[in-house]
Amino acid sequence: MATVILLIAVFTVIGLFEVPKILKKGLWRELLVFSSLLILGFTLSVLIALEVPLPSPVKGIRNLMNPILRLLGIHTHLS
Amino acid sequence: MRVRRYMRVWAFLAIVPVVLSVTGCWSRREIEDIGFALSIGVDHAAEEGEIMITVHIAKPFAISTGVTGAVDEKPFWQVSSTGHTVFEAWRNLRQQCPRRPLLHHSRFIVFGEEFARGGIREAIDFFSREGEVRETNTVVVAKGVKASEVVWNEFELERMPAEGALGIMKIAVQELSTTVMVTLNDFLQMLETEGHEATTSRAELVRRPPSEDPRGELKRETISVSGRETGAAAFKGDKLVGWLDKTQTRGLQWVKGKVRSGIIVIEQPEEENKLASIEILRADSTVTPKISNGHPSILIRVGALGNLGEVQEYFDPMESQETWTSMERRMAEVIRHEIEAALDIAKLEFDSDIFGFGAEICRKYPKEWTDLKDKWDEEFPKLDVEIEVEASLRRSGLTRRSMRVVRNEGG
Amino acid sequence: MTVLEGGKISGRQFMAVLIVLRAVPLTLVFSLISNANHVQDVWITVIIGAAVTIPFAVLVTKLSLKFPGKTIIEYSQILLGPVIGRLLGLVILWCFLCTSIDITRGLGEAYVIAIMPETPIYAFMIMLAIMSCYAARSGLEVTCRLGEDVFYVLVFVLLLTYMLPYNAMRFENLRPILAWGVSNLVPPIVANLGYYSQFLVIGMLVPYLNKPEDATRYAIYAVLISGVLMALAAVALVAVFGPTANSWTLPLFSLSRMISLGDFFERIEAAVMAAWTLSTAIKLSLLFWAISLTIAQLFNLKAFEHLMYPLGAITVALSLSFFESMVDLEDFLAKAGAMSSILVAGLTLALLYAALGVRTVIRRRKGGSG
Repeated sequence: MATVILLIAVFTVIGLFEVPKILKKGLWRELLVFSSLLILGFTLSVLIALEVPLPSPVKGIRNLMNPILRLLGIHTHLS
Repeated sequence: MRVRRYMRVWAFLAIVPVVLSVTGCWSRREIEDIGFALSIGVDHAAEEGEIMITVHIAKPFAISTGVTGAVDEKPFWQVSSTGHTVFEAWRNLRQQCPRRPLLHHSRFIVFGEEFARGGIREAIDFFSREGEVRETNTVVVAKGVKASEVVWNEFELERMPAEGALGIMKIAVQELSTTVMVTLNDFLQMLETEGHEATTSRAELVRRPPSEDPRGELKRETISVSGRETGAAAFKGDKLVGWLDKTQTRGLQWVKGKVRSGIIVIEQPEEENKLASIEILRADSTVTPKISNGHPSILIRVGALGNLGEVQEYFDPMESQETWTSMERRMAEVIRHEIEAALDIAKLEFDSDIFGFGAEICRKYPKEWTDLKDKWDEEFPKLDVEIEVEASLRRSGLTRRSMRVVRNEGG
Repeated sequence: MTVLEGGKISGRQFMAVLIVLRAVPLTLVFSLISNANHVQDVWITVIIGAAVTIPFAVLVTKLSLKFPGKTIIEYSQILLGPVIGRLLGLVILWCFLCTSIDITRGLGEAYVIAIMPETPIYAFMIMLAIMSCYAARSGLEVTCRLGEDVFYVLVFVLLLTYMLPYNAMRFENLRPILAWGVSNLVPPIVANLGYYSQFLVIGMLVPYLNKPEDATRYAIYAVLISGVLMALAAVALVAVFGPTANSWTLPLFSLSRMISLGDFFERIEAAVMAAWTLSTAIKLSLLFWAISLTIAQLFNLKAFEHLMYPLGAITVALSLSFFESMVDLEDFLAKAGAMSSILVAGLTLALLYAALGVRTVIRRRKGGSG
C-alpha cells in the first residue's frame, strides 16, 4: 500500500510539473494525450505494485516468430 | 541558453551513476562489517556427499597495526565450513564468521587431491558464476593432503598465506619454469577445449620441526608448516589423473612455449663427473600437426637461448669451438629429455592430452578432427611426436675463462 | 503547421547517436557471441551484418531525403494515405517502445547481476528513466550533443577493455575459422540484424540534420564504426575466453574483470559500468524523443516535450512486466525480438518503397496524359 501512495505522489508531481505548462499554451489536445499516457502509466505501475500479473506480448511475439526461427535453425526453449 | 542546458544535463547524467554506486543504496557494505577471504580450498567433507571449503580471512586490525612494529597476532584466521554444494558451504561460513566474508580479493582456488581425483565438475561452476570471484584467481591442486591444509600454509617472508603462495608461484614460473600458473579462466578454457586436457600447479606441504621457542605460539620465530608450488597436476576431463614432477613440468612448458627462465644442468664436455649450469634466457616453440593417410603426427620445434652460468672444471671457450657447440648440443639433449619425459607420462600413464595436440589438430584440420576426436583417447598414446630442439648459448657471464685452481698434487 | 522540433544536429552527432544506439546491447549482453555455437566465427557474422545493414541504412536515408523536413511518420502518411500511414506509424512506435523497454530492463538486470544483487531492479530503471526523460525533454540538440560526448567516452572505454587484458589473450583461440558450416553463422547474424534494424530511427533524425545531404555518408560511417567495435569485441572475447566466451551473461563486463596490470590497475569494470549507464541513457532519451515525436505527429499535436515523463513511467512499468527473467530477456532479444524487428524494419521499408514506386508511376502517367 505504501508503494501505491508513493506512486500517487510521483504521478501527481509529474502532473503538477507538466499540466500548468500545457494549459498556459492552451493546448487541449496535448492535455488529452498527456493525461491518457499518464493514466496508462499510473495504472500499469499500480497493477505491478499490487503484483497483478499482466499479460506480456513477449509470448505472443515468440509464438509468431518461432516458425520462422525454426526455418533458420534457431531454436528457443521458452514458449 | 542551449549550452547551459547541455551542461546541466551532463552534470545530471554524471551525478546519478556516481550517487548510485557510492552510496550503493541497498547493497551497502561497511568496511567494518566485512572480511576478505584470500584463498579458498575445496575438499570432500567428512559427511558423505558434502563439500568442505576452507578459507583464510585477513584480519584487518592485525594488518593495520602490524606495518611497523612486531605483532603478536597472526594476521589471518583460517576457517572451514561444509555444505552440499560449494555455494552452500560458502554461505554456511557465516555461522562462524562474525564479519561478512567476501571473495573479491581472493587469489587462490585450491582443490584437495582426493577431491580432484573424484572430479571437480561439481565445484567449479560456483567460481565463474559468483561475481565476487575474479577469473584471474590461480587454480592449484594440493598433493597428498586436503586443500584445507594448504590454504593456510605460512611463509616466512609474507604475512598472508595467499600473498606468500602467490609470490612463490610468480617467481617459480618466471625463474624456474618448473610449475605452471593456471588462472581460473585458463582452467575453464582447458576443461572446455576439445583435445586439450587441463593442468594446474601442484602445491605441496613442507613440514619443519616445530619451533621450541619458549615464548610460545604467538611469538613464533619459525613456521612449522609451509608450502611449495612445484610441478603440475594433470587432469583428464575434470578428474585429476596424476602428477608431473619438476622435469616433466618443464617438458610441458617447453612444448607450450612458456619456459621463461631456469637452470639446465649438463655434463661439462671433456671432463668427467663435472657439471655445468646453463641459465635459460628465453625459449619459444611451435607445434605443427600433420595428417597423412588419416594418421596424425606432431612436430614440436623448440628454440632455446641460454647463458653459460657455471662450470665445475676449468673451461675456456676461446680454446675450442667444439666445446662450446657440444655444450649447446647437450643443452638441446636435456631439453629433449625433459619433453620426452613429459610426453611419456602423459601418453603412457595418464592418456591425457595435456599439451593440447588435439586442439592444434582441430585448428589446422577441423574436418579430420571431427572424426578423430571420438577416438582421441586411443590415438593420443600412439601419436607420433617428432621433437626438434635448437639450443644456443649466447654469453658466458662476467668471466670469459674460468679461474684456475693450481693444484699442488705432489704435496 | 508549427514546427515540433526546432533543433538541428550535425552529421557527426547523427553518426554518434547511431553508434551509441547499436553499442548499448554490445556493452551489455552482446547477444552475438552468446548465441554463437562456435565463437571463432562471430567476427565474420559482424562483417556480414554490417554488409547487410549498409544498404538498409542507405535506403532509409535516401527515402528520408526525398521528403525534406519530414520524418518517416509524416511521409508514410503521404505515401500510404492517412489511415495505412498512421497504422504503419503505430507499428514503428511499437518498435521504438519495445526497444526502450528492452534496454531499460537490460541495464537494470546488468546492474543487479554485476554489482548489487540485493537492490531492487526498479531502483536502477527509475533512475535511468528519470535521467533519460530529463535529457530528452531538453530537446534533440542537447541529446545529440551529449550523444557525441558519450560516444567518445564509449569508444575510449571499449578500446581500453579490448586491449588491456592482453596478457590473457591467446590468438590461436580464433582458429579454426568457418569450420562448422554456414548454418552456425545464422543465429548471431539474426541477433545482429535485429539490433541493427533499430536504425529505422534514422527516418526520424534525417529531417533535423543541418546538412541533410551528409546523412547517407554518416549513416554508412555509423554502421562501419559500430561494426568495427563489435568485431574487435568478438576477437578480444574469443582471444581471452576461448570456447567459454559464449558462457558469460555480460561478456564485456567479464572481459573487463580480466584486466590486471600489476596490482595497481585492477577493477576497471567501474568504467565499463559507467559506459553502460551513459550510453543506455543516451539511447533511451533518443528513443523517448522519437516516441513522443511519433505520437505528436500521429495525433497532430503541437507540442511533444510534455510526453516524456509519462512515457518514462510506462516504459519502466512495462519493462518490469514484459520479461519474467534475465533468461527470458536474453532469449527474446536474440531470437524472437530480433526476428520481429528485422521483419518490421524490412517490410516497412519495402512497403514505403513500393508506394513510392507506385506514386512515381502514377505521376508520370498523369504527367504524360496531361
